[in-house]
Order: sequence, then structure tokens, then C-alpha cells
Amino acid sequence: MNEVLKVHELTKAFGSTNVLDGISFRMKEGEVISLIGSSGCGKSTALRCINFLETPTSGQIEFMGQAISVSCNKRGESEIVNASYIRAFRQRIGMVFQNFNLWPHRTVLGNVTESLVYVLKMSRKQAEEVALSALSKVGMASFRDRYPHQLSGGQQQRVAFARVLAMRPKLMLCDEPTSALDPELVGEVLKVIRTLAEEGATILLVTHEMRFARDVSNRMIFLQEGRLEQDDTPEELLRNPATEGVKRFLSSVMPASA
Amino acid sequence: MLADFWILMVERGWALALLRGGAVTIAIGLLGMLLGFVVATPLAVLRWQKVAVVSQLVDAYSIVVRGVPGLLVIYLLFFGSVDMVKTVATTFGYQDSVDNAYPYIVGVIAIAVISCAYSIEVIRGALQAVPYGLLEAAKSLALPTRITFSRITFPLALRLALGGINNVWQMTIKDTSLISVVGLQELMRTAAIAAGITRSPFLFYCIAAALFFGMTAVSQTLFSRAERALNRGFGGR
Amino acid sequence: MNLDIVTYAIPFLLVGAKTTLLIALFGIVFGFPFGIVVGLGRGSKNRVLRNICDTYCAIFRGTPMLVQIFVIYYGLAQVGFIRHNPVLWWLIGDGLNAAILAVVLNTGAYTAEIFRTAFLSLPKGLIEAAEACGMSPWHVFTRVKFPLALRQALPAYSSEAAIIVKESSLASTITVLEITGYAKRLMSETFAIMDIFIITAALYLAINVVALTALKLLERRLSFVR
Repeated sequence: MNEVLKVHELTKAFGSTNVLDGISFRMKEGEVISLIGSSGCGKSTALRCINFLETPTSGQIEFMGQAISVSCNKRGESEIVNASYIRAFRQRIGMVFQNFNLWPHRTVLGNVTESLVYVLKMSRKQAEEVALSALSKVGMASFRDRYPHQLSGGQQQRVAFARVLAMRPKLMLCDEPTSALDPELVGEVLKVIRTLAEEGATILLVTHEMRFARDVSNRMIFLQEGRLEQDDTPEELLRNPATEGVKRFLSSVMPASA
Repeated sequence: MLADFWILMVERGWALALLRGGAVTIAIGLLGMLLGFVVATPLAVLRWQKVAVVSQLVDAYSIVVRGVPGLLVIYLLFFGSVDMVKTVATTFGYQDSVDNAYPYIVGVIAIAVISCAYSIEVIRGALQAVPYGLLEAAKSLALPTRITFSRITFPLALRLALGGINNVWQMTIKDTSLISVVGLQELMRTAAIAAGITRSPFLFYCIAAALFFGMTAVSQTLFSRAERALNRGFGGR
Repeated sequence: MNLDIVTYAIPFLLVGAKTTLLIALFGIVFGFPFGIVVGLGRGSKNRVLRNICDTYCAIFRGTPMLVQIFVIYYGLAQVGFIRHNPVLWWLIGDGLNAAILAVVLNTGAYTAEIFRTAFLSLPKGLIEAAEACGMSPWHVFTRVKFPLALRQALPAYSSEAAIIVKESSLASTITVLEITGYAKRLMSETFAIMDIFIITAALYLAINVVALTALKLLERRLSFVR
């Protein structure tokens, strides 16, 4: 299968602390990978570096054969090679945020059509068709004319998924998509992710839902203090934790399955 | 008593004069506010983006104008421009028409200079108040910067700014009264003339107050309505 | 900048500054407590009191300060009853007194609004907690409500204080020469419009900086987080 994403020696420093310390991994088409680790371990930062919402301090991101690399010059500033690819990356990489980030002044439909019209240059009519089919995929088509504040958190997150799906992304980044939701609303969002995974979408997921991550992922990557400690199938990672850190983390988040 | 009032207002024509003065007040207030806002918007955006040098200049302008009395700004503009305008007008032979229009033009500019400083702060504050996550969402969808600004940032900021814009407008309409001290015949000046001629300052200043009150009350109502209409999508706000 | 003009203008402006400071000081000293009382009146359970306070605030916030000062100084002087009452006549017959009265009444209305919202924004739970431990209403007010509302209101009051300094300039329209009054005279005397403006603006900014710093210090002293 084709390789979609290659992350090479990704490093991100805030001041003198390294939030990410030389992370490398690869993703094939159709793979679902969960990034796990305790809070503050750099999972979200790693995700945000991939579509350059955060500029890495150094390292290389290769997506669909195009590479953007960042190096640190003598003055300590980041220098981006091929910065012009960033928009192309973002066009094909969808991102779902913890807080949904739906635009409050646009309807459900408007939220989805915006990028279709202004990035993919579709006509309004065509954009609405595409948007509606994406919305029905997440079961939100009947809410097309509502405003975000009229929806529950779970519904908002499903719209956020539709907004990304409509762009037909080659890779989806999901940054703790259920963390801001009330417990009873988590299920509907997980169902959307599961469906997408089963249909062969390529998903890089940051989550605290360990059981879900185990069920849905092909691989799990454990980060601790910015370092990649283990990259394995869920079965392997749960059965044979590579380091003390992984072991400690697993016993604290899912004691029953230990 | 009522008959006296009737004679004063209708037969002597003061009611009409006051209404005309009120119209001038509204016109100058609206034009000044509009001009100020139009100039303030790009300045606020530059300030928001922290463009070097321009930001500092905008800050300096805003601090000075907001820190000194409106009256002082008006004196500066009127006294400072008299000679210049006279020279220009005489050279081109438009002495008369300029003499008539001059106070109105400078009046509008003075009001604009004052309201602009306040508008800058309101717009900049609103731009900063747009949640960053909403802009990140736009970025992550590869929306071009210009589109993000015109379709996401600016419309959201405008809604957030509406309350502040209302405050600036309320202040501006009241500030127009200050122009009367340099002889422009708006509501306040008309009331002062009427007060002098009829020797009833209490009556005429109270009427002026009532008219100003009417203006601010009506615009307050209109703004609340606009705010409600624009704030769809903001839930309880 | 012409140095002669500067040395000529500054003594006049400093004399004006004394008057400006006097008006502003009275505005704060009387306007602040007065505003708090009116603000409380607007939250009162007594309907008559509430309506009176609401109306007062609406009128003084809805009309220009210039009109207010003219009504007080020129308008009220026409009313016979006031002319013949020595106390009232002292209050509005003299330009400076009338200016101070106008400033106090004007800032009172705005201060009342600041405090009304401050009292409204107090978390209910804190007041319930005070009531639950058996405090009398008076104690709830003096020990809990007021101290909290004061901290809430102080930042907004700082800008109101700066406005008082600026509004005091309207005294010049009723013959009281304060900074702006002198500035106008100097402008028409010397024709050095820009020079005079710069000196005057600097003076106002200096007064504002001092006032805002003082209030900032007070704010910090009252703040829980140090």
C-alpha cells in the first residue's frame, strides 16, 4: 500500500524545553494510528506540527511524496524548506479539533461549504451537494440550516467531521475529538470515527479513550516527554510494554485489562 | 403660559430652527462617525497585526486623542486650519462658498478624528477577541488568508464589536455638541442663540437636552435590535 | 517648537491645571460615593426609589455634558426660587461651583451604572454562603457584597476617572478658565496652535498617568492575588 505520511526526526522546542524530541514514524494508506500518552507528552503538538499549525523546530514531514523540512539556523530560528507546500498539505489533510471550532456565524451547511467554495473552487450548488452528502454520512444532513450553538457538543463534532470529510482528505488528524464532550455524547462521535476507519480512511488520532483506540487502531504510538517510546500493534503494545513508562501509563489508564 | 410657549415655538419659528439644528447634529454625527470608522478599520487591522512603526503611530494617536478633552481637539483643528483654508480658498476664488461650508467640513473632520481613536480600540479589541481556534480551523482547511479574514475573522469581529461601536456612537452624537463652541449652528448652538434672544435659557437648554436624549434613546433601541439580528449563531450572547 | 512660546504658555496652563485638578478632585470625592448610592438605589426593592435613580441615570447618560452644564449654569439661574435661596444660588451662581456640580451629577450617573453592574455580577453562591452562616443583611453588604463589588468596579472606574479629568474642560464654556480654557486663549493669542496643543496634551496625559497609576495601585492593594 502507498505511504501517506512520513514523519522524520520531528522536534519542537518551546524555549529551552523540548516538547517533541526527534519523533519518526510512517503511515500507510488506510491505516489508523492512535497517539497515546499522559497529558503534556506532546501528542497534540505532534499532530499540530503535521499540518503546520505549529511550526516544528526541526525535522521533516513528507506527505503524499512531497516533503517540507525544517532546520534550525545559526540564530536559532526555524527555516522552512518548501513552505509553499503548506497549503497543499492542509488541503489534503483534514483536522478535527477538541473544541470543534465550528464558525458560529455560519450554519451547519455554511461551515461545510466554505472551504469547498474558496479552496476547491466549487460552485455554490456543487459545494452544497458535496456538503450534504458529507453531512448525511455523519447523520447531520437534517440539521443543515441550524447554527452551531443550537447543537449539542456531539452534533457539533459530527459537523466538524463532515466539514473535513467534504474535502476528501488523504489523511485525517483528530485531536482529542471526544475530550470536550459530555460522557453520554462520546459514543456518537466514536461511531463516526469507527465507520470512517472501516471504510479505509487514514486517521491519526490523539485520544484518551484507550479501549476505543485499541479496537479501532492498526498501530498505537506511545509518547513520553516528547520521545517516542513504543510504536506497535495494539495487541503487542498492551501485551508487551517496551518500557517502564508504557507499563505505568497502561496500568493507570486501563487497570482492568492489565 | 401654554400660549406663550406656542408663540415662541411656532410663530417665532424656534421649533423649526431647533429641528433644523437637530438635523445638522445628526448629519455631522453620522458623517463623522462613518468617516472615523472607515479610517479606523484599516488602522485597527494594522495595529492588530502589530505592523512595526505603524502600530506605534496608531497607538500614539489613539492615546493622545483619547487622553485629552474633545474640546481641545476641536480647538486644534479649527484654529489650526482657519488660515490654511482661507489661503487655499482665496487663491482659487471660492471665498464665499468655503466660508459657508468650512465649519461643517472641519466639524465633521473633528468628530471623525475623535471617534476614530475610540473605534480603533473597539475594532482591535474585537479582532483580538475572535477565538483563535476558529482561525486555526480555517487554516487547517487551507482557506487563503484573505478569505479567512473577510469571511471568518472580520464578520465575527464585527459582531463582537457591535456593543463597543454603539458606545462610540452614543459618545459621538453627544460630542457633536462641542462643535457649537466654534460657532457651528447645530442643535446646541441654535438653543444658545434662542436662549439669548428670548432670554429663556432654561426652556431652550432643556429642549436641547430632550432632543439629544431622544436621539440617543432611538439609536440605543436600533442598536439593540441590530445586535439581536446579527448575533444569531452566538446563542445566549 | 518655539521656546519662547513654551515658557510663555506653561505658567498659564499650570494655573489652569490647578482648576482642572480641583474640579476633577471634587468630581471624584463627591461623585464616587454618590454614584455608589445611586447604583444601590437602582437595585433597590423600593419601586419609587428605583425609578427615580433609573431616570436620573438615563437623563445624565443620554445627554451631552455641555447641555447639562448649560442647563445648570444658565438655565437654573433663571428660576426665581433658586435665585432667592442663598444656598442654591451659591451652588449654581458661581461658575466654578456650577461646573463642579455638573461634573458630580454627570459622573454620578456613570459611576452608578458601573456599580449597578458590579453588584449584579456578584456570584450568588458567595452571598448565599454569607447568609447561610447567619450574617445580618447589613453585614452581608459591608463584609461581602461591597468589598467584592468594589474590586469588580475599580477597573471601569479608572476610565471614568480619566473621563472626569477630560469633562472638567467644559467648565471653560461657562467662564471658568481651566487648562483647555487657557489653551484656547493662548492659541488665539500666539497663533502657535500646534505648540500649545502639544504642551496642553502633555499636561493632560501627565494628569491621566498619575490618576490611573494611583487607581492601579489601589486596585493591586485590594486584589487577592499579589
